[in-house]
Amino acid sequence: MLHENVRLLKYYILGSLLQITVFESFDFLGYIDPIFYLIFILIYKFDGNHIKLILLSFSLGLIIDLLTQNPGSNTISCIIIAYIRPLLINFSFGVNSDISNGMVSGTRIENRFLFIVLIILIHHFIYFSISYFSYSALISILRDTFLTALLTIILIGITLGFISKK
Amino acid sequence: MQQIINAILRNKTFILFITLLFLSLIFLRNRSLYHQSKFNKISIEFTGRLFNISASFKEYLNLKKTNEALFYENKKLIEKKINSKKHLNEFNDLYHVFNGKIVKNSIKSSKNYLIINKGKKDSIYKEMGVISSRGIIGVISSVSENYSSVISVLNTDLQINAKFKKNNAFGSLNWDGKKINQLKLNDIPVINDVRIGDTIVTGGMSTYFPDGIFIGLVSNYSFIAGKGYYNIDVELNNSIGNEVNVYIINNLNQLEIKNLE
Repeated sequence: MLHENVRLLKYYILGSLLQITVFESFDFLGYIDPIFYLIFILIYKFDGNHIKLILLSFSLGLIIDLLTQNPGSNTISCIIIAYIRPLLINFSFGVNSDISNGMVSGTRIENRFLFIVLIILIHHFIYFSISYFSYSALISILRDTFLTALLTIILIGITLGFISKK
Repeated sequence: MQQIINAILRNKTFILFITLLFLSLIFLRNRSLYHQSKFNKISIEFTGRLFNISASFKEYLNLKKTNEALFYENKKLIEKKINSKKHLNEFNDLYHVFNGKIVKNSIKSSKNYLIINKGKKDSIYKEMGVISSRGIIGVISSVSENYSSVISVLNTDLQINAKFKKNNAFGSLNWDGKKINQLKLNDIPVINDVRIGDTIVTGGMSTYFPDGIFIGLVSNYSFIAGKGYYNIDVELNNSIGNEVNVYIINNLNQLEIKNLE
């Protein structure tokens, strides 16, 4: 249990620090910044306490928002994605959704990929919808969602690959 | 109480999620002027729609009151219109108008009468003219404490002084008992030009109605052989059988005029 909490804390701090120090000024193609802290929500145990996840995601989003002068898009998108996470786990992993550490081992790579893509796409769509907050900006929302998601998926995919191998 | 606590415990994740989402939205609103203005817009739109629904509902419930207010307003306007005729002394009103409602109406016989819900108590007396917003109705024939009987224009006994609006040629209007809403205008000499569609208004030669109240339009006319007068049919503008709200006109000089006659 303690080991699990330490592991969580590690990803929590790593995700938020790297996001603030490195990825907020990544500016790929001039303006695309990947959202790396999502690794914490992805790696959280499938059978972990849901309430704990929602509270931790809320605090994670809040810290990122406060430190990056963002009005609140990270907080809102984080708690929504944390709340719907069990549904996405069931959808992506089916019968294997009860494997506690499914994101690291014991599950098929396609299921993991589907889960990563769903979490990232939904999160980014909410994030940019709140940032633009206008129907007329739908094209910009979709464009930014897909471009940023692509970068985030690559980045998180590589990181998770390393973690799995380890 | 136990059930409420159980329900809260059962849905604790959802309650926590909604609470945090609400806090985040407040956080978002307070930190960004852009989002603040967007939220304000949404809240104005929302409250506007909500109040619109409640206002429509209230409006519906108040329709009766509104109708009464309009009826009263109309009465005042008619009074003003009647008293604003050029030849009247502008400092002394010659007519007072009261409003009333038809409670019984008949159009089936040749001697039709109506009953209205105003009587002596409301200062209604015999021989006052009764009109509606679309034309004339009749003349008060008898009055009780709370009700009055009105001889309808669709009564063969009633003769009304009427004239052509275009040239003031006047005659006597009465119903021949044949066709509902069609009256005969008699005593118009053939020297006058008559066309179908000419406007007929009250003549003002009687004490019942003020001058110039719209009655109807000429629907047909012919010459009466060897008499030098027209036989003119006038189609009433109003449909007596469908009228509900009426205005009773009191000519303040009626008694004086009657004494002179």
